[in-house]
Amino acid sequence: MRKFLFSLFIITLVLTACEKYKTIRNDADSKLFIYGRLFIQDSINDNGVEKPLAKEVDVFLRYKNDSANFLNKVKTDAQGYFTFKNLVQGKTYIVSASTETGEGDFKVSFAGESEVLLNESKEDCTPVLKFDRKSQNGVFYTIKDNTGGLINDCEACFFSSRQIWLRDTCSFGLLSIKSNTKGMAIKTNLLPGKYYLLFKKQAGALLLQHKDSIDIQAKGILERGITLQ
Amino acid sequence: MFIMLFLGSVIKSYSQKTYTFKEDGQIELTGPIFSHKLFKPEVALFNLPQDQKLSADQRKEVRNELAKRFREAKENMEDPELGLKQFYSAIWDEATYNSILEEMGKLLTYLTGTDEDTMQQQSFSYVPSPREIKTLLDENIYLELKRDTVKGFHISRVIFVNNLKRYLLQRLFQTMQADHLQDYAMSGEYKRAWRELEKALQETKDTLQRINRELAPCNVIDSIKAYDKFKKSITDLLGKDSKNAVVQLLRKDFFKKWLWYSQGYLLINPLMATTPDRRYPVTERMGLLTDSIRKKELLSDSAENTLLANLLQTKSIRNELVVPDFKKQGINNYFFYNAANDFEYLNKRAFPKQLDTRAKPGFFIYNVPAKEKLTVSVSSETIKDQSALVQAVDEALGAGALSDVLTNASTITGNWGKISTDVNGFKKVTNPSGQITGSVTTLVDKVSLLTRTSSGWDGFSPLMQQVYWENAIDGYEDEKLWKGGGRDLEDKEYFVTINKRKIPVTKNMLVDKVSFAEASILVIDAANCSSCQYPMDKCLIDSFVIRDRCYPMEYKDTVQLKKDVEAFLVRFKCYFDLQRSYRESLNRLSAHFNDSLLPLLTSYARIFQRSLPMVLTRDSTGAFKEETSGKVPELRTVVYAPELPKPPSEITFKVMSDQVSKIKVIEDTATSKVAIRHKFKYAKRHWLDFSIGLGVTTNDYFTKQASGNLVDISEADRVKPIAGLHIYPLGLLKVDDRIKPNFSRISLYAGLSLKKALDNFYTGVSYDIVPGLRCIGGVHFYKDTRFTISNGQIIDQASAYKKSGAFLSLNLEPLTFVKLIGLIK
Repeated sequence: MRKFLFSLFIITLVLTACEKYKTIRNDADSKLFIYGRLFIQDSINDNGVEKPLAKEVDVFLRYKNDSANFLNKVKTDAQGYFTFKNLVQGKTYIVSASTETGEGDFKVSFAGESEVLLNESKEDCTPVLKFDRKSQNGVFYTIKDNTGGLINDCEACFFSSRQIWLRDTCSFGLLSIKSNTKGMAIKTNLLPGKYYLLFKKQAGALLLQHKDSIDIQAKGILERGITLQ
Repeated sequence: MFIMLFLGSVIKSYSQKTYTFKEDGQIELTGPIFSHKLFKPEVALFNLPQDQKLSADQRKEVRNELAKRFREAKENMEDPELGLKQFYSAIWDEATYNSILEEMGKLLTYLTGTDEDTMQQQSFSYVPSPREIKTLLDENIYLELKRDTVKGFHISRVIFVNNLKRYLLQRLFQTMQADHLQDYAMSGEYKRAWRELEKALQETKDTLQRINRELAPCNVIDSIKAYDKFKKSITDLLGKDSKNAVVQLLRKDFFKKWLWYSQGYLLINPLMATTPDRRYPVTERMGLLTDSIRKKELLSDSAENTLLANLLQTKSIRNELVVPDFKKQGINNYFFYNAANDFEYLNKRAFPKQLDTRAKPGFFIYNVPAKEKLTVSVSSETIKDQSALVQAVDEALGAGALSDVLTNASTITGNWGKISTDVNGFKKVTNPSGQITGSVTTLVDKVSLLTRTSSGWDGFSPLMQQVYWENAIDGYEDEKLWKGGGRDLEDKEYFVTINKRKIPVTKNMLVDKVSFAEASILVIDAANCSSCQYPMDKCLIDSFVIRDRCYPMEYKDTVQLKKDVEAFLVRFKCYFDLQRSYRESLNRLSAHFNDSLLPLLTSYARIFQRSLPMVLTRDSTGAFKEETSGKVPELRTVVYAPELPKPPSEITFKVMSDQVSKIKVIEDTATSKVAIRHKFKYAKRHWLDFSIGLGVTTNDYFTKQASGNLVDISEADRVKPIAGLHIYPLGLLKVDDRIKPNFSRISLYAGLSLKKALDNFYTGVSYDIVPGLRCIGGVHFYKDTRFTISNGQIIDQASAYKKSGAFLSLNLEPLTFVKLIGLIK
């Protein structure tokens, strides 16, 4: 009787395990892999030509239909190569990565992803990181003069108070940024809300000025072009 | 389902085993022999011989034997030297004697002829009728078929019925009834009658001797009257009005009706076997037999001898078939042999080289003669419970073999008693054993009957008779005797002519008388017929001359001499005639005694079987109550179910016979020969066993495990050392070295890998190429784990066995495998 009960217990255990085995999601099932290299296209701090991202960054792998969670992440090597192993055949994976470039006010995030339907190992997965306009918030100004020329070193002052902004002085502003040589002025990671901006370029005695107001959302880069007068 | 169908077909094919008794009663096995159904009571165990009657050859043999007996009887009765005609003519009459002979002749013609249907309607008074003989030949010889169960054995017997014995008993019963012989008893009167005959024989011999003594000298005396009186007494004793009980008894037809069987000799008890109360006492005188012969012959018809039992045993167990009740005896392996054919092994399959412990072997040796003693020897030697291959590997790897010798011997003995040598039941009767036939012959040889005939004048030579009758008496005439005339004889030599013979006168009266007497009876020349040739005549003349000496003979003249010679010759003739008369009478008496009375009395006395025939009685079924059945089978079945020694062992089974001359030599011992010898291994069957080997999975498969990179998936080894359990549904006999296919070597296999035992599971079917060397094929299952990953973390996992594909494995017994691996290392 004891032997019988013991056998019954073992069988039940095995069957229970099998039952769970059948229902659980299987995220590692084969020797299939995704191999690739990250590329970046930086038109802010660079010349905007697509080229390998030669630094170590995290690369994430997720199922296409699950954007909330990733499966795994790997760090690329110094040349930007990465590998995801032991993947499930037939699944559609999304390989994504992000990185930051620039210094100071121009330190911005680039992100990119690739979709892979994995029927066999993928060896040429090359996600291209581009200026991330979705996952970060902020504002991206292109500043020109009335002739269309790009204006560099143009100070952009942010005000949260309209009354102060109307005084046309950067004093008492929240913060200020300057445009680069490409006439780009970028500010990311702003608290969502309404901002008032004062652009000023003092070129000798010439003073070019412009005012603007924007609504910053939690996500998304607001791109605007302005002409100083 | 397949197995059931297979078993069903096996059982069906083994369900019709039968034993058939051949015509000679030996068992012949036909059909399949490995059937348990065979031993169920409802299955017919054997068949009687197809032809339960005598075969054509056997009928011919019986007819020949009967014809031989009739021929012997007829020849003996016709042989004048035996004097049976004289005897039977005297006690019956010559016409009866001739009738018996005629009937014997006719039946002899019938028996030696080819057409059995002729003469069927004829009936005979003194011999069996052709119809009786035909009935005898046509009756079934295997009439009964008995079955019995004793101590778990089914015993079946084929009963042989000796129809000739039954016929003889029937004839004895009928002939005794007809002449009321059953009313006769071994009474004083009966015995006195024999004594009287014995006495008469002896006195006749004595008297004949006296007569012959009286006839021996040349002078005989007048004793005729005394002898005539004796002669009359003997004649009365043997005559038709005799009051002698034996003489009266022998006139009955009973004795005429058995002459054919007793080879022509008359016997009171023709079958020579009777009950003790009717047995003639050994102490009684039998003049013609010596004491030793008499004792032997008289005892032969007593109950102390096996003769009576043999005669009354009309049934015998020809063959006894023994098979065990399977349920009670538990025998399940049957091995059959035929002792009648050099112990031929009858099983269709060869004797197994190995048996398992479930086997309960039974050895059945059929057709073993009762006199043959079989001895069984079972010896054993402890062996390893391994196949030869595995054992050889083990030994090569350093394992030693242990062996112990156990010897058990037992002997099959049986109270088989004395055997009967009957082959078909007829030889013993139609051709009695040497003792019986030899006794009759011996007696006949010793008793010479009617060996001579007499023409009278015994003691006289034929020449003397011729002289006396033709010359001496008839020539006595004057003109022939006297030719010299009457002249004075003084001083002269003269002679007397008698019967043309001149006899010189010597004047010596005694000499001359002798000469004259001789001359009167002799006519032949003296030179060729000297007196020395006729001592009887000379003795008679001498005797007479002496008696005649008182009558002087004067030699004065021829006339006186003639008168004297005449007177002398008259006296001599008177004397001579008287002697002739006496001698003639005595010779006649002697001849009568010698040729008639003495042979007759001798013929009576020669009846040495004087016991009265046994009185048979019938029971309600018409059978004789006295009939018996032989209890010892002539052919028997020897069954031997040995207790086998402790397994594992190698057993040598031997059956030895003491009949060393009849069988093929397998192996000689001092006193017997080995008739059957088998050597086989004996071991347990294994239902479970373990093995270790190398399993090869035919497909690739992967193993997973959590690692730094979350899950590590790697290709598993397709070759793994595995260990597992074998389940043998039919049981594996490891000592079976044969390579031939054997279903018992199929096993169900379940095994694990030696490394990470729970990660690999093998199941399949295994087959032992030889026990211990296992070839396994089946399905390999491996442990597969599913990992659920989220955000770079294993958040859940579960495992199950997953089929990788087929696998093949070659396994050995664990110890052997370990040794082998050790050797390789």
